[in-house]
Amino acid sequence: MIKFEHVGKRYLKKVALKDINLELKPGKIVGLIGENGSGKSTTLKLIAGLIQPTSGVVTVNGRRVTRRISEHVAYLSELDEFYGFFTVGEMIAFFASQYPDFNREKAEEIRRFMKLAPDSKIKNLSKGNRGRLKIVLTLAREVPVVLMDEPLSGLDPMVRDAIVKGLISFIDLERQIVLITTHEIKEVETILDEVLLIKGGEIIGHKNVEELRDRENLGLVEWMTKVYAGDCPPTV
Amino acid sequence: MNTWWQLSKKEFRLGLPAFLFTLIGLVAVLTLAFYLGTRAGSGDHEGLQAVKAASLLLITAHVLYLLCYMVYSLQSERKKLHLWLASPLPGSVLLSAKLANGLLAMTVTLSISSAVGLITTALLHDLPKGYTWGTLIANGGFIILNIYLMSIFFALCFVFFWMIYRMLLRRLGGITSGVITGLFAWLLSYLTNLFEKTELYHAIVRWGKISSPSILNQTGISSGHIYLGVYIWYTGIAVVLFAASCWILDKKVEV
Repeated sequence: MIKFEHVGKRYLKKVALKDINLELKPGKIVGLIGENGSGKSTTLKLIAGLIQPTSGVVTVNGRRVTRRISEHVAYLSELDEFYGFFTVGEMIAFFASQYPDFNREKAEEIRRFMKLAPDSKIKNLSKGNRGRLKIVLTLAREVPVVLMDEPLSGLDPMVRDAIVKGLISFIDLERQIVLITTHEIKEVETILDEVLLIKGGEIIGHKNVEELRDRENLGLVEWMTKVYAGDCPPTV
Repeated sequence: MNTWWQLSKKEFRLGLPAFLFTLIGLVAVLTLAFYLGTRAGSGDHEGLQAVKAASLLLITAHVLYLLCYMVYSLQSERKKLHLWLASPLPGSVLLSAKLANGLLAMTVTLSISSAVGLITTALLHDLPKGYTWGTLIANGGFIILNIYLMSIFFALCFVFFWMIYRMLLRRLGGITSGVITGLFAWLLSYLTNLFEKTELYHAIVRWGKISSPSILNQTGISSGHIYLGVYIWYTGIAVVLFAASCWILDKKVEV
């Protein structure tokens, strides 16, 4: 379980997150949406232990988060930087050697699904293929928490659709919780169980996506637009 | 063990450009020394003397080798921190893999420099006064050991201050973090200097007297003896710096 208790994060003078209280349980795919600079990536980095809260506490399965929470958390960064001297196959092998939970067979399966050649040098990969490689490396880990920061960024629409469909088959929802930040809301909407809406470092909405669709007859983009405009009350 | 080995292989490839650059630089310096020596004198003899002098200079320069290697390696990691820091391995393992590869690279270039120094000494029949090959190699070995120790010490100092800088960077910004890290480094070095003038320091380190190589005495680097206590003192500081660096890396450095 992921827990935020009065978590704040500040970069120099900029407040990135304000007094966040949050509990997320396994077995769900949760979307984290909001405008640029709203605090989505900061939230994921805090869970991954790659940054520390300025105030409050973040825990994963009761353990206070430091960078070594990576034993239990797989993190897909929005950044495209890799060790360029590796080939795709070598990078997969390297990850397999570093993470005891890395499932090599699953990685190969996802790699084939992503149509990535194992002998391609990473430094020669296109942005789209780097994005695919990130997905391979993240989803091949059998960890309770999977964090994906803009996994669809830089991918063309057809590939995005294939990846979104693939995501469901490569995630073990019995044991995993997946948090996805994205601007491609419509593309992931169909696979999300819950959605968190962030604005100015605050969570201003937390909804069950199916309920939102069935009871309020709203798509995510419409709901987000309404809440941002103040036509819909915050739901936290 | 396989985890460390694979990490180490990655570090080897990451540090390869720095190693090759040093290797090429070393060959270039030795070649240039031979060329300039030959041109300045009347033949190969002067050329070999210049190569010998250059090799001694290069051997000495190795006290900074590991530091420079770590600068390159950590700076290369700077844009990949989301990968490096997302490793489940403790900071001590991450840093030791880098240091081990740096030491391996250093051993190659130091061996080449030392071999060139010995070969030119043999070709020139130029043993220092009162030395046999046995005493030269024993004394040289002692000096090489000290070059390794100093190189490791300087590298660990750099790693520690790099960690301090990275810890402050996201909180205070680049310029302020740089200034604070610089001031902190100056303050620590000033306080260490002050402490090393006290009776307490002398009481701690002045034991285990051993004779230093006569080459060092003749050149004024040493006054005839070295204390084992000094080695223990600096080893202690190095251990503290390494432990502090690992702690900061695990708990405080941010992407």
